[in-house]
Amino acid sequence: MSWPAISCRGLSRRFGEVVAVDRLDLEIEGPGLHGFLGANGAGKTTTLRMLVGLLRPSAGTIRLLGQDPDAPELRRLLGYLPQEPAFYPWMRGDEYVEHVAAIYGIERREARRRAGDLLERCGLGAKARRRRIGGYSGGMRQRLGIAQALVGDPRLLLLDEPVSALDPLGRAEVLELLRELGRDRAVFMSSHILADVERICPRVTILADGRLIADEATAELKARAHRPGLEALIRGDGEALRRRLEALPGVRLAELAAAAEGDPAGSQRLRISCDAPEVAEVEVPRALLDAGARLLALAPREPSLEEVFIHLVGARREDVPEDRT
Amino acid sequence: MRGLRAALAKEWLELRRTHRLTVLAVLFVLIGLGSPLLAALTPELLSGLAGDELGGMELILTREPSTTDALFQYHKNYSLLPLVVILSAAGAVAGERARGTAAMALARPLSRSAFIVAKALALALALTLGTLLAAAGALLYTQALFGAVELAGFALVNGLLLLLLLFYVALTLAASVIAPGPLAAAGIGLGGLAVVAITGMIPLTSRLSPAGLSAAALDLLLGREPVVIAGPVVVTLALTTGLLALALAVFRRQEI
Repeated sequence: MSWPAISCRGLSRRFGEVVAVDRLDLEIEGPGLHGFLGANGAGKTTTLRMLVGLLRPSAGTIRLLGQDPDAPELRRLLGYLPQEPAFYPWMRGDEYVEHVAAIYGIERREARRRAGDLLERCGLGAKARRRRIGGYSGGMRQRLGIAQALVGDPRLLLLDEPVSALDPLGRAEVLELLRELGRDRAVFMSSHILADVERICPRVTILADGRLIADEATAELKARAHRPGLEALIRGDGEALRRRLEALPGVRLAELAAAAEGDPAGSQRLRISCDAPEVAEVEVPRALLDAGARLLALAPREPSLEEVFIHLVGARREDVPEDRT
Repeated sequence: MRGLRAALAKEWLELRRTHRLTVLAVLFVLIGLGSPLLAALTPELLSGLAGDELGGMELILTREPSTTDALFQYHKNYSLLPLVVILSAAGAVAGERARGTAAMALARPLSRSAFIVAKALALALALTLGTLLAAAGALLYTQALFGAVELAGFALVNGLLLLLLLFYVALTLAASVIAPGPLAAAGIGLGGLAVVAITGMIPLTSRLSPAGLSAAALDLLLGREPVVIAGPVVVTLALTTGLLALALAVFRRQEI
């Protein structure tokens, strides 16, 4: 059964003449993972800071878990990780999480147990957590940040770039943890790493220049923004073929792509994005054969979330001149 | 106040781990033990300094140093502490805001009032313990070197001096909330120190200024009459409370 996690109506924030967030309407339900995307300066961090009460909205309303954000008991139900988590360098990792647990009103023994368990799950071993935070690497600090966001057993997690400082292995571990958490709580996370969001977030919200440009299921977004496309595996002069295809009417983009695992030696991948299905299904294969390309494979292609994001944000920039005053 | 206990525990741990508590303790011990010692050694120090600088003239000391001299020295040395308090507390809020730790703290079930009050309480506790240390050291050493000290009067002197320090805690915390950074907060605190010192020098205002506490303490030590205590105490308590209330009111509305 779903429940309201985040509700914003007309949420706006100005900094002097600059409109950082512009009339944002958002309805996020829990449980589940929800990605929050946008280019640098789109307003993601500003929105998150308004949600946790660090910034006051210039206009609009916020409700979290169906409650007024100033409700005294609401904070016990929230967990927050800022984009650049800041800690007390003189504290040890385990001490910090225990201190946060104490703020949540968790009794000392339980706080100690919970801190140990969470730090372990977040990849900070016994030796690391007993070191002073001043000596932590960026990745360790981010893991500590995630642990402190979870210690109160929050119903709603607000995470600003939770995996940006982690190596690929660490990212995979933390994403798996977040996927697990999303089963029974609402996780609202911003990220620049779109592949990660695509992997674990069934729904995404995209901001551009402070405005909402998409808020829907990831699969639907990809289908809506989908341009018919093909991926061809060929032998021959890939660059010449690419230029020839790009000159074809109805072909929007043809590009050489990195080889995939298992591709035969000497082969090249061509990604072709078209304006219409018949171009993809008829014209391009014909053009490939007419060019004498040695075609090893040809298959339809689904765009990645990154491609959809670039397309949507790029299209918005073309339509709307830069003006956030 | 939500989270006050946890916040206070963190503030106390910070004072210990950053060695500020140790430094304060050492300072107070030096003031306590050093003041009577300095008073006892003053004749030798003066004789040693005089010598040839007096162009052949002889320095004659008309009396031996006494309990009064020791306690006067104590008062003088203790009066340097407001500067230490200002420099120590200037970054209390402004520093956390600049570093980002305030943002993380306030996103939790920790009230903004508890955040400020915990800092005030931790500093107040440290200064109170320090004053007890200094007073105990001064009392014991003065009695050992010079003779009996009137206990009730000495306790009252320390109470007045401690209250003055607590006023500076409130002033600097308010400055730390209002100012954009620790340096600016220290500047405001030092400005306040100057204003208090000036009001203490003007006869019209001296007995209604926090500086009156120091003056009253000195009068008590030197046995001067009358000793005006009520006015400075009431004004200082009112100012201290008002500054803390201002800090809380501003911080509650502040964006982090």
